[in-house]
Amino acid sequence: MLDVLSVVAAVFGVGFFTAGTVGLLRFPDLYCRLHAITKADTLGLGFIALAVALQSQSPWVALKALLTWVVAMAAGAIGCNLMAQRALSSRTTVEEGTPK
Amino acid sequence: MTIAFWIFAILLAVTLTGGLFRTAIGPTQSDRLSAAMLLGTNGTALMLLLSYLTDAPALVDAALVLVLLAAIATAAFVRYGSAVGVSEDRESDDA
Amino acid sequence: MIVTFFDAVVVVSLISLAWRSITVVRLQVSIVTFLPYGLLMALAWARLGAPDVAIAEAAIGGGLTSALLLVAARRVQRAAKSTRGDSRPTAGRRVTRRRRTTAALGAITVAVALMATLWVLPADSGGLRPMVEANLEASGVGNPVTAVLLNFRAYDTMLEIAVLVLALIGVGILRTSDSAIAKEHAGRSTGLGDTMFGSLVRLFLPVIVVTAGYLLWRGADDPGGAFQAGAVLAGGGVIAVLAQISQPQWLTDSLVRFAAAIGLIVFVGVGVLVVPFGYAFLEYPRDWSKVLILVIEMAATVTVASILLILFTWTLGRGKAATERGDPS
Repeated sequence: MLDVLSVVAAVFGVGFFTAGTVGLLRFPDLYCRLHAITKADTLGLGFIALAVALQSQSPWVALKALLTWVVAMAAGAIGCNLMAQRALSSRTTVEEGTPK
Repeated sequence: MTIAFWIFAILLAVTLTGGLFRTAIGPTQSDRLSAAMLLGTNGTALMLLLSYLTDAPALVDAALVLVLLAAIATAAFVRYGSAVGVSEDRESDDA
Repeated sequence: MIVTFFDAVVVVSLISLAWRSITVVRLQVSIVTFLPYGLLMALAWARLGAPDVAIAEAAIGGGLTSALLLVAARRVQRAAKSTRGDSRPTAGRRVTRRRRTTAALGAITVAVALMATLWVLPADSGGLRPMVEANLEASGVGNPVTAVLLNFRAYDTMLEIAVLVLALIGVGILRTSDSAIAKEHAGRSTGLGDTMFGSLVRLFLPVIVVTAGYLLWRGADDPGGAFQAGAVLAGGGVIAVLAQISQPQWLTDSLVRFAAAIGLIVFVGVGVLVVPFGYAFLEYPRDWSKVLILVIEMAATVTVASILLILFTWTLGRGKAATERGDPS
């Protein structure tokens, strides 16, 4: 039962990571890309951490995995905000980020 | 079970390679750094999976350390990256 | 079979990253290409069954190297701009075809020799593990890596720390301060306020300090130890420096220098301290092994963290030799 849950969670996690990466590669603009990678940060890593936590031997390891997720969310949020601020202050305009 | 997780690990490794492309292509320096951010998270997820696959719970500690220090690169870039406003990192040598 | 596939993806990525970061012309691109390399190395170490090294690599390769390279690149650019009017880094001597082929031949020879050596080695010889496991009981700790580093081969570790201190001195002699960055720092407000950097510091530094302490303590029986803890702590310090927190009053120059030296002092001190009791240099008395190792590790953590942080601050080009440590007061 636990195994099934882990696998399902991991599938979702990998799915979100794939979505995030595809977004990173295909979106036309820096701001859109930042938006995509935060999804991978929060949901992707969250599901993977859940999958690993369910499989871990001791509750402390599971807690550590979930703590990793929380820290990653904080790092992602702060990081993306910083990047966007920098891009804005340097007047990187929307939509002009990609070469054809 | 283990096989499934190995497949997930491979898929994550492939997405990691995908993210590497953006560091290659990304026209602006900010694009490359944002790809590096995603790679950090991706690597953390891989590290978590590896902790199960190689039966080493200590790797969860490694994953924790990874995310804790992942923000440093972004912070350093935003603070001290190539001078902002100077032909802001287009395909020029300033960036 | 599946495992081999995973390894193949990691190895191919590693090699192509290494290749690309060397061959790309533009400095900034090559640096950003190198950043994931540390991460991939940490994964490789994890895959190779070396969690201690994986943790250390995650801290150093994942965070510290990135910050160091990004900051150094900016100074190189600025230096190039001031001397040449544009910011292309200088190419140095001309790289002739002859030099290039010689270098290539040399590199290929070394690579082939290494690969041949690996090929010839017996696959599952076990190495030194049996010997270490046999003596683990007597070493005072449960983690074989810590036992080797801080007991069986303590002398080597002491010399490694000495090398770190020497490196610090060397960089200290060669460094120049960057007046532009000093000016930047002077003008900026030093309060945390509600800026993003403030949030970064407030959220991360406490967790980093606790994690470092945790790694140090766990190093006795699980993967972890002084170097990992020191590197993580240095990362926290780097965050504090990047957030441009004003330096706490109690953090004087001499305190920082003392922190950089204390690891070596304690290590040698412990080694010398046992001699009057009839032991050889650095030969811990059985009952005291664990305590002595812990004391040495604590000092080593402080030293490693200080040295890494000072090196970062100097690369930044701050005029003073002082740095930020751990949590802001």
